[in-house]
Amino acid sequence: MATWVYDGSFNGFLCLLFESARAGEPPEAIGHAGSGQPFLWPPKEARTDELLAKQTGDVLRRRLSAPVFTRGYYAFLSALKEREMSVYTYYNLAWTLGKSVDRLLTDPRVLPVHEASRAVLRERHRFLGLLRFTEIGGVLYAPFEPEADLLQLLAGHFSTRLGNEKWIIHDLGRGKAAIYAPRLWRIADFSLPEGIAPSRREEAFRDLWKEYFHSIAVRSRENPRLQRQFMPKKYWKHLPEKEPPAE
Amino acid sequence: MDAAGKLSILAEAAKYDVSCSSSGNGGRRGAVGNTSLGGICHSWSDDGRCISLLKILFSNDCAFDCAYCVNRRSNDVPRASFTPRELADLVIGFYRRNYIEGLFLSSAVVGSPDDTMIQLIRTAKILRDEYRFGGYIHAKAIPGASPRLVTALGFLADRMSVNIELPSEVSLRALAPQKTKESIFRPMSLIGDSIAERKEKRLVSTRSLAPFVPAGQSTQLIVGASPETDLSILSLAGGLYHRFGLKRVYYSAYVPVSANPLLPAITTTPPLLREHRIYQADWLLRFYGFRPDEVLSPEQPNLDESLDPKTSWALRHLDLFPLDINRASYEELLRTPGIGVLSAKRILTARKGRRLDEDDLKKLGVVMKRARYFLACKGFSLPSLDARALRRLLTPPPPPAWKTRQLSLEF
Repeated sequence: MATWVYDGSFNGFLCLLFESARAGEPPEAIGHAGSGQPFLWPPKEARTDELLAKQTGDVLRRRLSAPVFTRGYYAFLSALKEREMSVYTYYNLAWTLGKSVDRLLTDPRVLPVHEASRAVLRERHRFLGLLRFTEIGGVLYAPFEPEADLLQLLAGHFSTRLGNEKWIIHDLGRGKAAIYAPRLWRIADFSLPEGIAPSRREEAFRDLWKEYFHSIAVRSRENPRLQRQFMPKKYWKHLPEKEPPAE
Repeated sequence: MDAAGKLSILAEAAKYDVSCSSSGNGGRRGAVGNTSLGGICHSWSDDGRCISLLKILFSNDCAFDCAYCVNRRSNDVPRASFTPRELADLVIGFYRRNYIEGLFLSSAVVGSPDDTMIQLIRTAKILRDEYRFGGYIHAKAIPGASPRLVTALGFLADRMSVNIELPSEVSLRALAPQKTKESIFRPMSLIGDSIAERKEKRLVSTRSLAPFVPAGQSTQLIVGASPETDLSILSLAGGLYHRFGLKRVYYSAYVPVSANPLLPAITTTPPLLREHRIYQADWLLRFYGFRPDEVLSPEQPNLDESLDPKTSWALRHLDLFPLDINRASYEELLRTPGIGVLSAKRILTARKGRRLDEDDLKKLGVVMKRARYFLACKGFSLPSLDARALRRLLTPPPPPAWKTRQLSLEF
């Protein structure tokens, strides 16, 4: 048993799985390298190697089955506390049981991963709709603050949908962005340069949208609770239609 | 009139149409946009309804005078019309910013039904041919339009709909004198037949053929504007699903828009609870394997507003319960109050792993508040209760009077 650290990426996590198995020292806790967390004993560090990560991923996909592997990946992206250990435990159990691990749907080693993976997919689906782009200097820019690490799950969708545009989807909380120019996207650390403001034309479009949003509601059926149930307040910050009216 | 003015008038005029879904076709891709099989909601308006499509009328300058409709000829409201280009540009502008999933294209009857259809086709053509727009288009077939035009629009749209609005011919004659049962069902069956025919052709063809209304058709019925019972509404819906292969029937609680001796008084509030119960019953028809005559009967032609229709049904069939959760078939599970399609499927998977108990059911997402009276599992079965006692236990208590108004402090 040992404490392991890695660089925080999914590839890094896969290398950690491989290294800990090879060393015969299964993790009892997993942390991020260089996070300054205090450890009782010096932790073991798994270095990230793209090729090793790919090979480990291939082996896992075959042995655990693709749905189990993918579910672990989604849970890894979630905001679950100790998500690394949860995914490790789930994969570990599936190493012996294979895909029938999912029959133990109510087992504490399985259920949290299922729930976390569902939460990630739910949040992704929400943002497919709730992401709002603003045109700034010919680039469509969409800031958002998701709970899970959604960039790689959103980029594919928007690169087919807005395939001829340049766009940036910016995860403000994590300080990184998916950046796209026709046919290619990548994820990188990002912060918006200062002093950039949307154009007048852009303001006009936002106003049209607000106008529409207001006109489409049937007043005699007003139901703010139902609205919040589908579109919780935490998402309002980046929605033009929910901007408080200007004084 | 500027764009904002038109947008406001023509969205206002379209909002009583309920359908806004963008689902049913996952295969379209264009230079701008694509469609997603399950549909995507982009916002939720103040009434809690999802906004997926830009739902708007091309024009509200109507030649018809249907009593239940806000756009009727004799109503004194501001009138406006788009040009095809204005509307297409607006759609693209909204779509690029991810405000919407596509366009819900409808119109009042301007001039003749055919004139109107031509405007709708022009708009859709600019979007599809010029912008190569791959997003969702839901188009309305104008009642009375010629078959050729309905077909032309069908090749540009993902979904089409013809609204029935009034659930019987008698009400139609009284309240919508320019519409006939014929003028509604003719385009509906034309669209239905063409969809089926096209599907067959696409199956056997070696070339790729343009799809025709790939997301199917839907319709809408108004609830509470005319005296039909829930049974006749549901039977009509059941027939539409069955005979015309409709994807959805929407129900809309009547919002009074005019004072007319034939209609409910202008002060009536929309029957939202009734609408809700009808939707629940509609789900039973489509996803839970129920027939209309199981949900309601001529002796009891209206849904019970205090209980959901599935619980109501279960109380009439207590001899089928309690169900052994580890043995019951999928169909039986679906008929149990508190169990939905997802939790029924999860039960089937999870019980392969081990025998399930009450605790497991909660984790699988079963609503035990309702389900507990109808299930038996390891170490747990309730003493059998009669229907009266159960009904009392299952009816949600009315909210206490002091809770209905929220306390507000004024400063």
